[in-house]
Order: sequence, then C-alpha cells, then structure tokens
Amino acid sequence: MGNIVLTRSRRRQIVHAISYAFLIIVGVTMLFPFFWMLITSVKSRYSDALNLNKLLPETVWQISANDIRDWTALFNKLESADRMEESSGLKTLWTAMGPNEQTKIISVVTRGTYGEEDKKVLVSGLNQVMINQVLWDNEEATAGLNPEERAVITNNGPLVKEQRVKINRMIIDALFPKEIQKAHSYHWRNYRTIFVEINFYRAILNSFFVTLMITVGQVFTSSLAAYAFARLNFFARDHIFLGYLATLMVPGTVTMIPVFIILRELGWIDTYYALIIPPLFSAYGTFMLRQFFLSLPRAIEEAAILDGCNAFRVYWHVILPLSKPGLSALAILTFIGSWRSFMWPLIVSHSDNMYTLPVALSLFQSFYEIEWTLLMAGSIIMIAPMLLVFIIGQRYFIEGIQLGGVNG
Amino acid sequence: MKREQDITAFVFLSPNIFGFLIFTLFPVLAALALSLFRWDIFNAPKFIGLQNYLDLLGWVFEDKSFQWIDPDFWKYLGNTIFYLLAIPLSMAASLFLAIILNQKLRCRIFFRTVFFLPTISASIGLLILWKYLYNGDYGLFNFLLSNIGIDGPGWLTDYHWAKPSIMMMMIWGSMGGVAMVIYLAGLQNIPRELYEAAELDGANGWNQFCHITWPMLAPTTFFIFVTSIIAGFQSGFDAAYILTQGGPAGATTTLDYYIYNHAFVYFNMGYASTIAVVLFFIVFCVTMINWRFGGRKVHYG
Repeated sequence: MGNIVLTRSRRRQIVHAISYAFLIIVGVTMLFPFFWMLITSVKSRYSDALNLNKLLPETVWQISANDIRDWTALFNKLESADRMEESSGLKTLWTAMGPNEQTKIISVVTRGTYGEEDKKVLVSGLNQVMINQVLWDNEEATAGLNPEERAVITNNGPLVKEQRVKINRMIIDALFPKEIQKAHSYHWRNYRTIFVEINFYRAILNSFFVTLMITVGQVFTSSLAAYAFARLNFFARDHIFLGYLATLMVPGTVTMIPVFIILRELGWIDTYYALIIPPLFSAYGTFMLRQFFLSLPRAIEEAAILDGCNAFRVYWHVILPLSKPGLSALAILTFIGSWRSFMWPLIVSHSDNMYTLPVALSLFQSFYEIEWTLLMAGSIIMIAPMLLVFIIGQRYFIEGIQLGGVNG
Repeated sequence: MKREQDITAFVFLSPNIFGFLIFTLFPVLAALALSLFRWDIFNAPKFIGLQNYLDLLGWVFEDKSFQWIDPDFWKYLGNTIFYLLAIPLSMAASLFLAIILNQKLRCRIFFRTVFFLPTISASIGLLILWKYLYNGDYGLFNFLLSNIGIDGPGWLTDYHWAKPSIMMMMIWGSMGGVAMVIYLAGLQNIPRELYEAAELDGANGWNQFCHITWPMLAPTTFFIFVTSIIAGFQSGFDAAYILTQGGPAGATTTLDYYIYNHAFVYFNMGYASTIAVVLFFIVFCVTMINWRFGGRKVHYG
C-alpha cells in the first residue's frame, strides 16, 4: 500500500517536471521573437545578413584594408567628413575611443541600384606620426615587414597590392586590439533616426489623441446604454438589446464602405472626426458592461432611489463608482483595440498629418523595406504602450475577457 | 410612470443608439443597396440590378468547359477557409496550455502573462517582425536552417509556403491568448469532486480528460469555436497588406483584402459591397448552422 502512495506522489512530481519543461519551452517560443525584435532594433543600421543574425549586436567594421591606399589623402578627406555626409553618402557611424583618443571609425556607405549596400569601414584620426609610431614601436605587429616596406610606408611610396593590404591590416590590428573590434555596440540611435527620418512624432501624437478620445467616448456611451439595458424598464427593451447583439455579427467590411461614403459627404475624410467618431459606438462594450451591471447588488441603488435620487444620479454616484473593474476592463480593451486599429485609419487618412502610428509604420516599412533595424525600432514603439497598459491593468483585462467570454 | 421611464431610458440610450443607427444599421442597409449599383465614387452610380451578384457568383461554359466569371473570388474564399484550419489547431494548443496551467504550479501567473504577450501586442508592429523573421535573405528562420545545411524557402514569397507560414504565425499569436484564458476560467468551474471520484474509480489522466474535462468544457469549446470562425471569415487584411500584398499570385488574399482592394484601390464601390454582402451572408449562415447543430452537443457531452 505504501508503495502505491509513493508511486502516486512520484508520478505527480514527474507530471510537474514535464509541465514545467513544457511551459518553459512554450514561454521561450513566445518571448524569443520579442527579444529578437528588441535586439535587432539596436543593431547597426548597416548590418548585413550575417551581422543581423548574430545573437548580440556587434560593431560592424569590415575593415577592408586594401581600400586604404593613400593615408594622407584619406586624412584630408576625413577632415571634411561632415560636409561629405550630405554630398556623397559618407556617414559617421560610430566613434570609438581606441588606443588613441582621436581615433574614429567611420563608414562609407554607397547605395547601389537595388538597395544593396557597399560597406567599407575606414579609420580616421590617424596621422603619419602615429603610423610611424605603430610601425616602429610595435615590434610584434610589424614583425612581418622588411626594411624596404617600412621605408616605403613612411614615405607614402608605391606598394604592390599585397604589400599594401598586409601593412594596412597590421596597422589596424595594432591600433585596434581584438577585444575592441569585437566590442558590442548598441545602436540606440536607431530610435532617434526613425523620428528624424519620418514624421513619427505626429503619428504618435495622433495615435494617443485618437485612442484616448475613443476610449473615453466608448466607455461613456456604452455605460449609459448598458445602464438602461440592465436597470430600466422601457418599451421593447429586450428587442432593442437583441438587435444590438445581432450587430456583433455584422462584418466590419460591410459597414466600412457606406460609412466611408457618409464621411466623404460630410467632408470629414482626412480629419480627426473620421478617425474618432465611427468607432465611438460599441455594441460589444454595451453588452459587456450590461453583464457587469447585472452582477451588481441592487440594494444600494434602491436605498439611493428611496432617498429621492433620479436615474442619472444613481448612474453617476452609485453604479459608476461600483463598476470600476468593469469600466477599467472595457477601457483597456478599447485602448488596445483602437491603438492597433489599422484598416479604418488607413482608409480615412490620406495625409502625413493625420496618419496614426500603424498607418505611418506600414508606409515606413514599404519605403524602408530592408532597414530591419529601424523597422524593429518602430515596431517596438508601436507595441510598447499596449504592453504597458496590459501589464498595469492585467487583472481587469483578464476579467474583462472572461466576462465577455463565459457569459457569451 | 411608465412614460417617464421610457423618456429616461431614451436619454440614456440616445448617444449610443444615434451612433448605432448612423454607423451600423444604416450602413448595413446602404451596403445592400450599393450592391445593386455600379459606382466608381466619382461619377453618378448606375443601377444594374443583380448584375454584381451574377458577376461574382456566376459561371459560364466556354469551349464546353466550366468557368467562374470571377475565379478570383472563389480562390480567395478558398484561402479564407484554408486559414480557418488554424483554428482547431490553435484551440487544441490553448486547451493543452490551459490544462497545464490549471495545476498547482508556481509561476503560473507569470506564464499566463508570457503566453498572452503575442495576443496583446498583435498589431502592424508584430506583423513587421514576422515579415523580418520569414525574410528569405535576412530572416532568422532561414539563417537557422542554413546552419544545419538547409536552404530555406522564401517563406512569404513562395506560392506553396506563404499560406502555411501565415497560419503558423496565427497559431503562435493566438494559442496562449483569449481562448486559453477562457479555457482556464472554464476549467476552474469544473467541480473538483468529479476528479476525486474518478481517481477513486482508478481512471487515469487520459480517461479523466475524455470523460470529465472535455464534456464539461463543451460549452466553452463551442463558444470559442463559433466566435473564432466568425472572426476568421473577417480576418487576414492586416497580414495580407503588410506581409504579402495578398501574393504571391493571390495565395494569401482573403475576402477582407479583396473587398478592400475593390473598394479603395479599384474604386468598385458596388462590386465591393456585393462581396461584403456575400461575406455577411456566409458569416450569418455559419452562425446559424453552428447554433442549430452545435446547440445539442453543448450541455451534456
């Protein structure tokens, strides 16, 4: 008998262990794409496929030594790097404090016809004195040079290609020890870049404004109607309520075209009215809050009515304060629903100034097709507010779903 | 007294009812009316009777072979239905996760939150992430595959892979979401005594699932299934717009995307309304069929 009990508890332990293993596997599957999004958003904008697929961002210096021919000419060029940024696509990517404080890493980016990028990383801030120092002080690094080569490089004389590559490589290796070359570099500036390059501020402001208006408005109109359905007796109440429920079945695409035409007649296309007013009236919200109001005890209300409160005061002073969980649940659902809403804003907004975040992001991704780092940064900005609202109001949110779901 | 209540109720209802009439009821009727017209929105609409419906649903015999007049519609309807296959898979995963989470485990709230993240962040942003993961040249999937020597396809650009890829994404996005939360609530409503009694009778886990959990959850399963199917018929726009533009060769175009294109790209307002009305009809029928035949199974399994 004791043996059986032992087996049973042992079996439960095994089941729990398997359960945990399973939960962890699924959890990682769920989380990893988010991690990948975050880590990609801080990788260098000029990463190639190989660098994009490294787990952590690495500095992308492909030091192509054979491109450095003439140091003096290069230094002159680099001194005017700021001016060149506008003219020939030369961009300062990254400033590193190398062994020498003036050392800079810059990248020449030339865009090819098909968006292919040609990446070369050059070293600036060197001068002839430094090169000589490297050559002569670094016995180890320059061990492979013969006296003739040393003489040539100090005088900037002609070298055959192989020699040039060898010398440049040695200088770079000497100046940038391996540990510096491999240092991780988190390009948080990607987030700044997307704000500079597209009208992201406006899109974010639009999204917040529209979402807040819809949320407040929907909670208000839904709670009013829900109160009437839950507590008042009036003509054909149940029929009207059934009609409301039936409209939950109507696909959005059915009403989309006529509503667009109505707004067009009103001259509201490409205005905030078009973005805010049609989504204000929600049958779902009314249904959900009605269920919630029905679950409230009537005793307090009846006391208030006996004290001479009319329906509006009961609604405002009794029902609403008691319904904070239900109202919060609806507010959170509405906030997230309107924040992510895409099709409708896409249809009714036609100018930069009216785009909401999802529309701006979708345009952004059609223009910057392969700029994955910037796209991921934009996506994170889009997702972050929803996650924040969810984490703050998780309890209400889950309750809201169960309220709508179990009673449905 | 009765009149007074009617007036009060009217005041309470009026903001919502007003919006409801203008933005739901009238548009439904208007869509029905529009489907009888040919209208490019710039010129005056032209009444053409049921011609749109004939063009959409009709067929001809050309060279003695059967041909749909609008073969695209049938193809996209097929795509939409194909996507529905993700629903049972996703629901099974949801139920499985809910059963695991229903045990007395530490960190269950944490895992529930983690599983819910894809649902909460479903948006254009998340679609762009998947576009990146699936990308043939830069994407993570093909990079991982290349490490084990497999040359992965262009997941979203290959005709045969595009639909399954999007379905995979849909399952990832929904398995830990609303369905799982509703299942969890359903599981917590099952009386513990049933399991204790079954255990005394020597029923193993699988038997308990078949004879207690599954039948007791039947109403929940039914509810999730119906709402998912109805939502499924109306979905796919965002994914098609962002990930594939409906391609390759229409492989990922759903009815939603087709309606959008006819209405706001080709400006065939009448024809778009016709497709929308047919979609409405399909959704209506599915709801009716489900209620009619699902109703019996619900209470006792």
